[in-house]
Formats: sequence, structure tokens, C-alpha cells
Amino acid sequence: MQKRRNFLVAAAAAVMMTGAAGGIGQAAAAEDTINWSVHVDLTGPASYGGIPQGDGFKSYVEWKNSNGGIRGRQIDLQIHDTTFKPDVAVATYKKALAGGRVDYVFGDSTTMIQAISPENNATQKILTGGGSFASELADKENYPFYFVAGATYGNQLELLVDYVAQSAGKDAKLAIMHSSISLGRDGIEQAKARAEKHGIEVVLVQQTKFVETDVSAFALAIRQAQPTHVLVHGYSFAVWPEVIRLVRDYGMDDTEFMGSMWQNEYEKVLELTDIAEGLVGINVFNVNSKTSDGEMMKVITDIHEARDPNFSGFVRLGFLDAWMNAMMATKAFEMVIDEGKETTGVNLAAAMASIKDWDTGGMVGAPVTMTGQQVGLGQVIRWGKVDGNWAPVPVTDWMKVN
Amino acid sequence: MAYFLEYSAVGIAAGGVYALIALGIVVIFKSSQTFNFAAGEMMTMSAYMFYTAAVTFSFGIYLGLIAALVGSVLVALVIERFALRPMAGRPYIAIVMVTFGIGSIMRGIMAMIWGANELQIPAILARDPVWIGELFIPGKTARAFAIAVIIVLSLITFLRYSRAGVALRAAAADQITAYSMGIDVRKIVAFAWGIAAITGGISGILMANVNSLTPHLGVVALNVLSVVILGGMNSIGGVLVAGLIIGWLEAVTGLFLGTEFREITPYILVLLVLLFRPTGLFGGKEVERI
Repeated sequence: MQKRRNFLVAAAAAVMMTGAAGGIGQAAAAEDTINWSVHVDLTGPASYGGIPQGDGFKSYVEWKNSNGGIRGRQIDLQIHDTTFKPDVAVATYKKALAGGRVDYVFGDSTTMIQAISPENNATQKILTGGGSFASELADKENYPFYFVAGATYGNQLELLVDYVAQSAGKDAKLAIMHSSISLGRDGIEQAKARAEKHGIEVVLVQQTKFVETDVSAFALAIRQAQPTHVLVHGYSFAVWPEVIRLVRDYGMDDTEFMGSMWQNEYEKVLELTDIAEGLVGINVFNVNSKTSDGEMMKVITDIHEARDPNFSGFVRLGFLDAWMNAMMATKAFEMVIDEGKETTGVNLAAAMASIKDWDTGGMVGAPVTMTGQQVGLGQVIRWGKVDGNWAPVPVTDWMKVN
Repeated sequence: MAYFLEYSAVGIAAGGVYALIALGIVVIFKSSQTFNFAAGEMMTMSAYMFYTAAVTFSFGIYLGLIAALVGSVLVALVIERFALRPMAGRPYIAIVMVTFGIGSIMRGIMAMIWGANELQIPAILARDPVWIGELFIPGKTARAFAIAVIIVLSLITFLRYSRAGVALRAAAADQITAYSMGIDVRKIVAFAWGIAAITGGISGILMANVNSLTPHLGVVALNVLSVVILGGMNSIGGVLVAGLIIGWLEAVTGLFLGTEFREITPYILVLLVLLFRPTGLFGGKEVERI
């Protein structure tokens, strides 16, 4: 009996000591490191974008840590696979929080940010970023800790409509084709309002599924409406290329097609060379690290050339998105640390919101001043051949959303 | 009026492809009362196999097509033999869940083999437009329609007049009686899976031509649920008629009501039809809904 009691006492002491040691370890780690928890789709339907996002964060943190970290503090990066399912994303987030202090979270989607924000708004602990450029997330009241790493989808469409107004004036006739997923619906009303403001007639607004069985009727509607410009939004690789081909089959060769940022991935355009000539798009980052000046683009080029000596210079959008988010987070941490404040969510968000005339080292072609929870800059480009190679040629300066 | 006719023509043409996609689902349901929720993934895998054969191994379009269809049939036979046949006699819901599981496994396998990249596959249909009087029908749509109608009508003829077709219809009508008459129902079910693999394979390659080849391509199969239900789940002729109706309805809905209603109106029609004919337009009375 005495033996059993001794064993239980010893076991309890061991458990307590282990727990205390773990606690000390965690506290020490939390004190020394800045803890980033990145939640991206590595294996699900959005992994085409999620894998380069994960790669972007990993590459950035390795580079940053090897250069002394953030004001001497190393970044502890944890990457979680969400499989692009909201419940899995939230579960990985909870798991990350259970593992100790988290200072920064990157979410894979609008849905994930919507799901985690109420709790974070209450606890006010974590600065957040993500792969979503949804208009509703650039909202200080409801998402005070989230910052969009570019122009929101609604603002991107507005900038494209501004381009139509500049290039074609009031003679332009605009058609809008968008998918029925939330991304596809985002910004449509803004685009219509912007066109009205410029006096541009919107001759057609049509909605498709994200993936369609046949798209002839949509092309026919465009032929019927006879627009000068067609704004395409909310797709990956489906529907819109075939619609363009059909519209060309109808003989409408002068109709200009324009797309929001994800439709302008260099790799995608290379698969669509039969329709790529003249496609208009919008960039929220410089996408060619070799042709963009700046220290940060040089770093990105070096990383890619170390992997592939024949690197073209075109960087995956997911990689750039991650890199930009990481840079923004770093900037906020540096500002807070420099001011001698605690790196709380409130202080980090305040620092982020106060960023002014920030040189991003070539990532964005104009100094960044945060506006309404977003970077809010974009540049309209047109795809064409430069020296025999496909490239996005700028047709406007970098424009600030308003 | 001209636009109405043109929308009607492209809608009906699109409906032919709906029918082709739905055909595989109906053939399997007819033979074994199994609703195959992995149909979309089977289509997608066929398209990936076509891409691999035609592009990666440079077999060209025709050999690539043959390789993809042979591969699709083999995959279907493996699924039937090792996943579905052991479930014979189990509750329908368990079998349906197995097809869900197969879909998930196939998605995982495709992700491992082909990754998440989105690919353009070689065009298998000519683009030259087809003119019917003043009506302009896009070339690919018209040719896809022709292929779909030929396949569906051929299958109807085959099932009506061939020994295998009669056996399949007998198995569909009453499996136990078919067994007692010496029909190897297991072979008939495997045969149905093979047919579904071929029609699904052709559908998948056609769909990849419209949408590009993406891991999302299988979602297209969900677009034809209204066709399957409206046609009657176990009626091959019904699938063709329902496909044409749904295709036409979607097109004219877009013309008159706006494209946002295209996703709703087919199901409103299905609901109305089911109120008066619970088995769909051409479905047999023995259909059990799931």
C-alpha cells in the first residue's frame, strides 16, 4: 500500500514538473519568437494557389530569420493544411491557439476570416491577413485586425472600369460576366456604379456557374449586347476562356476582355495563348521579379534562381500574395517594437493602419499608404508579346483606389 | 424572334451534352439501383488520362482518346468489382455512401498524380460554326450535341436489340428472376459500369474542352441531377428528352429572366413534374428515391 502511495506521489510530482517545464518552455518560446500561424490549402481544390502561398511564407521566413528576424526576434512559422474546408480551417486555427501564443494568422479564404474574426475581435490578440481580397473584409468595424494585401475585388473592378473610361470614354459599352460563387458576386455592384459614374452604359450583366456544361448561350448574350468591353470576374480557369473563343468565332475581334487578378496568372495565360493577345487584367503586385526594381524583388529572384537557373522572372501569384502579407506583418511588428509597445493585436493593427508612404522594395510599384484596411493599389496591364515572350504590359500607372 | 430561336438551338444542343453526362448515372442505376455519386470524378479522371496520353506521351488525339476510354473502363471495372460488388444486398444508403467515398479517393489519387494545376487539353472538336438557315450554332456545341445524340440513340438501340441489352433490361426489371433465368447479373452490372465509363469518359473530355481540365471539373456532374431526376432515373430515352428540355429551359431562362435564374428554373420544373409524376417523365414505378 505504501509502495503504491509513493508511486502515485512520485507520478504526480513528475507530471507537475513536466507541466511546469512545458509551461516555462512555452513561455520562453513565446517571449523570444514571433509566432505566425499560416492556414492554406495544400491538398484541396484551391491548392493551385495554396501551395505557392505556403511556399511564399516558408521562403520569406527563412530569408527573414537568416537576416536576423524581426528586430532580432526569430519568426516561428507553423503552416497548416486547411484542405479549403472552413471547418478544417477553423479546427487548425483552434489547434494553433491551443499550442501557445499566436501573434499573426494568415487565413486561406474569406470564409475562414469570417469564422475566426468574432472571437479575435473579442480577445484582440492576433493580427490577421489572408489570401482573400473580398470587399467586405476591408471593414474596420467588423474586421479590425484584417488587412487586404492589395486592392479588394470591388476596387479592382472599379480600376478596370476607370481604365475603360480613360481609354474609350463614353462610347464604351460594358458587359460584365461573373461566376455565382461569392468571389464572383463580390464587386459587381461597385463596378456597375462606377460605370454609371463615368457615363458608361452597362449593356449586359450575366452570371454563370463556376464550372459550366456549355457556354454557348453566354457567348450569344454577349453577341446580342455588342459590348466594347467585357469584364470577367470570379473564375479560375473555367468558362471564360471558352466564352472568349466563342465571341471571337462570332467575329467580335475588337471586343476587349478584362479580368480581375487571379485570371492573370502568368502560367494560366501561357496555357491560353490562342486568346491571350490583348487580354486586359489588373495586377496588385509586380509579377515579374526580374523586370521590377527593388531590393525585395531581387531577393525573390535569388530564391527562385537558386531553385531553377532558368527562372523566367514570373512569380506565382500565391507566392507574391504570401510574401506581401508577410512583409506587411513584419512592418507592423517592427513599428510596434520600435515604439516599445507590446505586440498585441490592437497595437499591431493600429501600426498597420498607420503605414504611410512605405517602400515595398518593388513588390508594389508605388509607395503604400494604408487606406480603409487595404493596400489599395492596382495597375492595369494588357497581355501581349514582348521580344517574343508573353508579358503583361502596363497600360496605366499604379492607381490608388478611391 | 431570331434570338429566341438561336438561344433555343444552343440550349437544345447543350442539352444533348447534359444527356450524355446523365447517361452514365442512369445506366448504372438501371442495372444495380446504385446512384453513382462518383460520376463526376470518373469523368475528370478520364479527361486527365486523355491529357496524359495525348499530350504527356504525345499519342495524339485519336490514340489518346482510345487510351483514355480503355483506362476509364478499367477503372470502372475495378470500382465495381472491389468496392460495389461486395456491397450487394446492403442498404441503398450504404452503397451510396460507398460511391461518395470512391469519389473522395479518386480526388485524392488525381491530386497525387496530376497535382492541382489547371490544364488546357487538345481540342477534339472542330470550331467551324454550323448554320441552320440564319441560325449560328457554335461548332463545338453542335458537334458535341451530334456525338451525344448518336451515343444515346445507339445505346437505346443496343439495349433493345442485343442479347446483352436484353439481359441488362432483364436484370434491371428483376434481378432474382434474371438470375433464375441464367443471366449472370454480376457481369451485367460490370457491363453497365463499363458503358458508364465510356459515356462518362467522352463527357469528361468534352467538358474539359469547355472548362479546361481542373480538379473542379467533376462538379459538372452535379449540374445534371435535374436531368436525371426529370428523365426518370432509370430511363435512357428519358434522359435524352430531359437533357434537351433542361438545356433549352436554361438558355431561354437566361434570355428572358436573367442568367441568375438559370440555376433555379430546372429544379422548379423538376419539382412541378414530380408533383404529378413522382417517378419523373419516363421513370418506371419501381424507382426508390434516395
